[in-house]
Amino acid sequence: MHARVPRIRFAARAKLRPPDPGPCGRGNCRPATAPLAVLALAGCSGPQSALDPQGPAAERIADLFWLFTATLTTIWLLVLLGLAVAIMRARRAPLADPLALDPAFEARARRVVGILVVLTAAIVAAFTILSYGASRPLA
Amino acid sequence: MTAEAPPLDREIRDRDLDDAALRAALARTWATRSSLSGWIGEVDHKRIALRFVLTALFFLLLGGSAALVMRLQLARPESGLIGPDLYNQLFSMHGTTMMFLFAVPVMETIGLYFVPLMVGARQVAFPRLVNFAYWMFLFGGLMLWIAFLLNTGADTGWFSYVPLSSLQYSPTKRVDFWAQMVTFTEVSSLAVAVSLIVTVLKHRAPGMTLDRIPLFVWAEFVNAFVIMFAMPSVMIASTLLILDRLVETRFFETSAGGDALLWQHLFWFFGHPEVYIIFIPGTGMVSAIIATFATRPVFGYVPLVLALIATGFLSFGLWVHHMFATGLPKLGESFFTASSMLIAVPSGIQIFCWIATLWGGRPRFHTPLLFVLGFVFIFVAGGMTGVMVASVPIDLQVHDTFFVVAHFHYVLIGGAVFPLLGAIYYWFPKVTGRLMSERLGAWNFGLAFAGFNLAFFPMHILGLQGMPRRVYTYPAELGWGGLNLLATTGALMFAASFALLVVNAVTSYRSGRAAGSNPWGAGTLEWATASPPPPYNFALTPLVTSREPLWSERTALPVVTGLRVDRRETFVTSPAEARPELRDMAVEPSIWPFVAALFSGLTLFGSIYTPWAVVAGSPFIAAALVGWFWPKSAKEE
Ligand code: HEM
Repeated sequence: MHARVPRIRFAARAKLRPPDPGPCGRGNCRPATAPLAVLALAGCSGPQSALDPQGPAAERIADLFWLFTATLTTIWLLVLLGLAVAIMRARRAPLADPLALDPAFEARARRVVGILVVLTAAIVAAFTILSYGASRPLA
Repeated sequence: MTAEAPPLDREIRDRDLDDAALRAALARTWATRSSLSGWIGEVDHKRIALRFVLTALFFLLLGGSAALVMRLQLARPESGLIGPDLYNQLFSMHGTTMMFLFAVPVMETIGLYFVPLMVGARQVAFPRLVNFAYWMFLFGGLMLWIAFLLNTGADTGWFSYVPLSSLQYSPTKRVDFWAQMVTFTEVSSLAVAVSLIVTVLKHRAPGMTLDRIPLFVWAEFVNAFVIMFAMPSVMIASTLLILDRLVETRFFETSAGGDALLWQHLFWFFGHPEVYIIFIPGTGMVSAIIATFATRPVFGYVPLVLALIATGFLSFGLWVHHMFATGLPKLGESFFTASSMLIAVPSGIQIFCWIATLWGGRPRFHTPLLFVLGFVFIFVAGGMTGVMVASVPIDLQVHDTFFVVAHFHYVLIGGAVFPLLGAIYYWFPKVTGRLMSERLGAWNFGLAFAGFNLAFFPMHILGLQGMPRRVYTYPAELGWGGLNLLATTGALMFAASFALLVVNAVTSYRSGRAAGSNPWGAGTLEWATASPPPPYNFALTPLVTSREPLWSERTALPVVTGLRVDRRETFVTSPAEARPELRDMAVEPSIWPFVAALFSGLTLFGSIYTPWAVVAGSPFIAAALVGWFWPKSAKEE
C-alpha cells in the first residue's frame, strides 16, 4: 500500500471553498459515525485533521506533535504553578522599605533561575534535534 | 560647558528663584500657545504622545470591529452574513490595522510619553520630527480606512504576498493603498525611534548611568533600534511593489527574471522583528508594573537587560520560519528552527526573573498587576505553541490553519495587549491626575481574560482539525460549527471588556479619586513630578543616585541646577555616564512639520494614481523642509 505523505495545505483564498466535500468524502468513515465524530469535541478524525494520520510519515509527525504538546503543557503548568506559589508565599506586610532585600533569598533565587534557564536551553535543543529527525525537506 | 557654568549677565537661572516663581517662569516659557498654529505645531512630547496613543486606540476600535464582523460570520457554518470579497478585505484590514496602526505605534508612543519622564528630561530629542511623525501616521491610517469605506480596502492579507498582490491578480487600487499606508506608518515609526534613541543617549538626567536606566526605558531603547533596522526592509519591499504595479518594473515577476520569494524575504525580515517591536515594550511595561506592585526592585536587572538585547538581535535571525512551507534545504531549515527555538531562552529568563520578583516581594493586587498575571498565563501559552510551529514538520501540518491564528493572538494579545491594559491602569493617574476605578478594573480584567481564552483557545483545536485561516465560511459537515460558535462568544466577551475600559476611563477622568504625584508608591522618576506633569516635566532636574530614586531618597530628591528659565533649556549628558555636557535649547512649536507631512502625504497619495505625483510633489516637500530648517538667528552658546 502506498503510504500517504503528510498533507500540506496551501493558503486558500477566501473565495475558494475548502476543497474537501466533508469527512465522508473519501469513504474512510460511514455516514452513521459522522455525528459521533462531531460530538467528540477534539474531533480528531476527518480528512482535514492533522490528528488523524493515515501513513507512517504522518504518524511520525503526529507522535512528534503529541510529544511536544505533552512536554510543553507540563512546562506551562509548572510556570503557572511557580507563579501561583510565588504569589501565595510572598510576604504580605506592606510599608517596609522596598530596598531592604533579603540576601539569602536573592542568592537562592539566582541559583534557581540559573538552573531553570539551563533547563530551558536543554529542552529547546532537544526539540530542535527531534524536529530535524522527523522532517522531510520539501526542496 | 558644564551644568554649573557661571551665569552670564541678566539671565534668569533656576537657582535664582523660589519654587513658586520658578514654576511660574517655566510655565510661561514652556507653554504651548493656545492657537491653531500652536496646536498643530505642538512640540510637547506628552501631548503628541497622547494624540498618538488615542489615535492608535481608535484604530484598535476599527480593527476590533472588523474582527467582530469576521467572528460573527464564522459563528455558523455556511453563514451568509458577508460574502467572500468583504471577508478578504476584513481580515486584511484587521491584520494591517492591528499591526501597523495599533500595536506598533501604541507601544512605541507610550514610550514617547514616559521615556523622557523616566529619565528626568524636559523634552524629547527632535520634538518637531515627532510631530511630523504623528501627522504622517494619522494621514496614512485615515487614508487606508477611507479607501476601505470606498470599497477599496486592502484584500491580500496583512503580508500581501506576490503574485496575488501583483497587478495581474489584483488589478484594482486596493493593494496600492495598502502599500502606501505601509510607507506612511514606517516613516512615522522610524522618526519616533530616532527621537527615542537620542533622548535615551543624550537627555538622561545627570547621574543616570547605564545601569540606573529603568527597565521600561531599556525596553523602548532596544525596541527603537529594532525598528531602525527592521523598517527599512518593508519600506523597500512596499516601494518595489508599488514600482512593479505603477511603472511596471519586474522585481517580483518570475517570468521577467524577478523573484516572488524575494517579497517574502523582504517582508518577513521586517515582519518577524515586527512582532518583537510589539512585544519588547510590553516586557518593559511588565517590569515597571511588577516592581511597583511587588514593592521591590525587579530581580535580575542585568539578566533582564541582556535578555532584551538578545531578543533584539535574535529577532533578526528568525524570519525564515514564516517561510518553511516554501521549501528550504534541510540544513537551512534546521538553522531557522534552532534560532526560533533559541528565542525561548531570553523569554524564559524574563519570565523566571519576574516570578522571582513576585516571590521575594510583597505583592499588592491592584488592576495593573492582575493584567500582568494574565499576561504570564497567556503569553507563556503562546510561547509554547511558538515552539511547536518552530518545528518544521509540525509547522507544515498546521501552516495556514487556525492553529496559527490562535498562536499569534496568544503572543500578540498576551504579550502586548495585556501589558498595555495594565500600563493604562498603571499610568492613567499620572497622565490625568485621577485614579481609575479598581472595582471596574477587576471586572475589566476578568472579562478580558475569560473572553480572550474562550475566543482563542478553541482556534487551536479548529486548526488541528484542519480549518484553514482566511476562509469566509465552511461547510456544516466538517463539524467545526460548535467551536466556532464558542470562539465568537468569547470574542464578544473580549470586546465587552474594552467597553468597560472605556466606561472606566471616561468616568474616572471626570470624577475619579485625585491621584497625587505618586499614588502607587513607585520608585521611578515619572512619579516625582505632578500628575499630570507640567509642560516642562520637572521644575528642577533630578540628580540620579540609584535605580529607584524615589525609594532610595525618601525625603527629597537631589537636583542639578543652572538652567535658564527664560528660554527652553535642557541638559545634554554623556551617553554612558550621564555627565552633564551642555545646556541645549529645546525648539519652539512650528507648523512646518505639519506642512511637510501634508505635502508628503499628498505626494504619496497621488503616486497611487500616477508616477508624476512624485515629480509634482517634490518641490512642495522641499519647500516645506526648507521652511522647517530655515536657520533662526538664535544666539548659540
Ligand atoms: C479584538 C480581539 C480580536 C479578535 C476577535 C481577532 C480575530 C481575528 C480573526 C477572526 C482573524 C482572521 C482569521 C482568518 O480568517 O484568517 C484575525 C486575524 C489576524 N489578527 Fe486578530 N483578532 C483580535 C485582535 C488582534 C490583535 C490585538 C492583533 C495584533 C496586535 C491581531 C492581529 C491579527 C493578525 C496579524 C491577523 C492576520 C490577518 C491576515 O490573515 O492577514 N488581532 N484576527
